[in-house]
Amino acid sequence: MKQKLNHIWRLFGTALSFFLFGLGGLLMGLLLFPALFLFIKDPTRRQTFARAWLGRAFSLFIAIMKNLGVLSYSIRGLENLPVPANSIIVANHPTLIDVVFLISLFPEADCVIKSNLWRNPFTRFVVSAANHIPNDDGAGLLQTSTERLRSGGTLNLFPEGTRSTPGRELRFKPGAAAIALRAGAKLLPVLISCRPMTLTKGESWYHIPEHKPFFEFDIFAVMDPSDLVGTSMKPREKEKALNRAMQQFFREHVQD
Amino acid sequence: MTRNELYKFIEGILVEKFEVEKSKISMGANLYEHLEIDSIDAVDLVVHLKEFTGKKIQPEQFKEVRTVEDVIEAIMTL
Repeated sequence: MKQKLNHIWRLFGTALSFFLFGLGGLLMGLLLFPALFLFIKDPTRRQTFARAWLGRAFSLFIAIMKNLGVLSYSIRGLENLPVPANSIIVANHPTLIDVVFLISLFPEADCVIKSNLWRNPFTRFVVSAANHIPNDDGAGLLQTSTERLRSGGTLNLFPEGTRSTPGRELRFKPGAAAIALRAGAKLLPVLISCRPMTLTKGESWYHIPEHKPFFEFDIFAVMDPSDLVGTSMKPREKEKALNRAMQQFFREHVQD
Repeated sequence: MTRNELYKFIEGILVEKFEVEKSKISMGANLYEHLEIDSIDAVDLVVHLKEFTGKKIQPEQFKEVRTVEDVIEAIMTL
């Protein structure tokens, strides 16, 4: 009975969370962020402001979900912060809300985002004010990411490119390793786990798990790619080797 | 620029830059499945092709490309 009630409560809390996220998104996407373009003319200042806002909004959203009792979480490895300049925050991607946590943890970092969000009227002002990186053009994505890292930026990346497929070994696309080596960037691995699993790829919001999901974020110490792969390799070989090494690192640490 | 010149150029890039065995390359060879070209290689290949042809290549034009022949066709229609 108690469990049944808890289930109903979490279903309600989840619905409310999605509703609030949508409402907040609507207000920010149609009022706050368009207003940023009117009031802040300098793109760099606008970007700083937009990212700080997004970070705070996502932190608030997480606090709401936690207080509603729809999820709980713990974050380890905060001593490994702040993220040094020219580093890629590399994370696995089990659930829909990983990105909410990552943006609240690393609000200043660049994010690679689906390019259709630049064409969607509700999100276009958000992603363009925050000046994130669209994913449509392979060459452009590589170049922009590399340039931003070299100029001292940090970059949030899910090397899988999309949410993990439950029950299948995680598989990294070669982009993250290529960007890391081309930019001479360091890597900050963030391992995400969620138990019981929820909001995986293709799962609807109302398919909530039997118990409250618990998210764990493990922030590792920064790694230098040159410690992971041989220095005598040719650049292409090195990129493939680094990709395998990163993938292996995550496979060893992710438990399902 | 003829199809044949383009083929020779692509073959050269595949062999030199991507270490594909020359014997594996043919018009019908699937870049991703037979020649083990990944998405980053594909981006690099497009960069080389841009330099060689001097043409602007849009990413959408390369979405459907699977074989060496597809690459040549995509460029010839530009």
